[in-house]
Amino acid sequence: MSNRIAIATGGLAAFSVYMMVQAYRTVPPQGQSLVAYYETRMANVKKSLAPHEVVGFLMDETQDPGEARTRHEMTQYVLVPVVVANDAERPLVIGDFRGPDLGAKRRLEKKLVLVEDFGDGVQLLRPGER
Amino acid sequence: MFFALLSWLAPLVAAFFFMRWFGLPCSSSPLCWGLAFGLALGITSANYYLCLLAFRPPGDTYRLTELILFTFLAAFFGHRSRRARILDGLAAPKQGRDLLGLVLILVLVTSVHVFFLLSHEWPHGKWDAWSIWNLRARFFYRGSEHWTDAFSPLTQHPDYPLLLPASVARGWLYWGEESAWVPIQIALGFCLATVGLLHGSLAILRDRRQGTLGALLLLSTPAFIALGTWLYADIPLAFYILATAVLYSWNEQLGKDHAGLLSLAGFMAGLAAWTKNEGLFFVLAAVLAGLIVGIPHHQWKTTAGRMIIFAAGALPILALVAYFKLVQAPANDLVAGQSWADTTSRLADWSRYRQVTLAWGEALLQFGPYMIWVLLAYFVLLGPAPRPWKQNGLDFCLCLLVLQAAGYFFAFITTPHDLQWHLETALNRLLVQLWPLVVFSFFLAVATPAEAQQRRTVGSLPLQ
Repeated sequence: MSNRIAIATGGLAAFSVYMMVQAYRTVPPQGQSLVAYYETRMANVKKSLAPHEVVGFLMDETQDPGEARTRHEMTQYVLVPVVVANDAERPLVIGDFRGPDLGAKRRLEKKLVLVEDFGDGVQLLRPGER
Repeated sequence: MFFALLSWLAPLVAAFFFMRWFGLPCSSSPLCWGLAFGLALGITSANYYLCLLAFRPPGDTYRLTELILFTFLAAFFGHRSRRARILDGLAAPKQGRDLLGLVLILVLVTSVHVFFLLSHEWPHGKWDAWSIWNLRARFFYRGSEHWTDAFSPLTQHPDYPLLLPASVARGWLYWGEESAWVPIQIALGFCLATVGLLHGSLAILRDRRQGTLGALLLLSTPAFIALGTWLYADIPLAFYILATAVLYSWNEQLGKDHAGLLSLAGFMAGLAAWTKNEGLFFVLAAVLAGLIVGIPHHQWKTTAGRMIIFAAGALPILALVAYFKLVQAPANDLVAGQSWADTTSRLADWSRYRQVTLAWGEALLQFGPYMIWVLLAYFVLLGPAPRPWKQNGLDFCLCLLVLQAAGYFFAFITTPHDLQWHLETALNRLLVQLWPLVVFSFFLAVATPAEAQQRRTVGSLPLQ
């Protein structure tokens, strides 16, 4: 086999082994799954909702649109078959807050009242008197 | 667990025996198992969706009936003699295992290990997995008679096709619970099926060593395995794109049209449309590519007839996709965001072309991250294949790549979303969808080590 062919085929084989070693390095350290975190947080509020209900969603304000989407869509994922709309204009609204103060502020802004606080920033809300 | 195993095994074995009965070269096991996996997943997901429509939701009767049906089909095709040996004349001579083959086994085992490590890290996949694909599967599985809430406009991309969600929900139905292993198994299956199909088809169309080199290159692409573990639909789509091109290339290699191969190629293209919206464009691109490369070589009627057979193969699945799109799914965001004024204004905006071209250039140069340079260096060292390109369908594959890439390009140009955001979130995944076909085309076009050796030997002979 000529040198050029040996370099090409051997080089490709060596490259693939090198990329595999690199792939091991990219495996991140074990962390808590975001889905598991949301499953735990939303477990109690899920029990208070009828299946197939359409509920709203309210969270504390964030400058990061990616974070806002993640929190809404993660809530939707763990609450299926409930449909979680990304607005607060529903008879029932899920609150996902980082702390009680932030929750109270957002509730006032949206004129919502607390139905039940499930802890860890998760609340069930409904529209107050307009 | 037992039922979960059967849920894959029965249709997989039935599809494998069907492939063998059909006349495909199943002595190359990875190839036939790969094709059988894609066919089985496609058919069972379509069947599950039809049963959802009919029985909302399917239960034990569905499981039992389906199992009996696939067991019967496996027995039927398993005991029938082969209808024809379509590709026997094209099979490459047997070659023993060499060092390269051992490297492939090592890299394959390592890849599967990395796959499991990454899957252990994110068992529910990444963003699109839980906001689109597995979300839809949960609605199917948990939704009972309200399973159509999966297509609520309040959820993300409710118009996306259903091969993956239906497969996952079906797996859960057999498993008896929502195990994270089901989508992981499907994703791993598609990764391995793609590698097997690439290896086997190159081994037949070129030689076994060429197949090994192609499989090595695909496995050493980090995005290929990583995207698999994200549980997105891009790898399944990449599989169906490759399967279509491979089956079409075999037909080209035969030298005369084989209706079975063409219709199976069309069926795989239909399954691409059942997997992702990009697959709908792919069906169109495949028909166009067939016409473009066919007309200069054959009579217009022959080429048109060939593409009609191809389209007829795609028709059953396209009818299902059409029903879903027209009856159940809300409008697609990219389509709904178009109007004559908006679209023409985007098409006339040259800054968008510059932005998209630069993004494509950058993505291609960084893909892999060294893939483009590896391909270039390899081609320089071995040179082009000595066989005419027309023989093995390379022109079809290249035309398909250009058309599909052009479709993606103009989807970015006309996107109603923020262009930079759209490029950042989608471009790399689109490249991965096409990557197995790129590798297949590359190893069709480049000389095999044996051919390169022969060329050098002949070139170095003294003149008489």
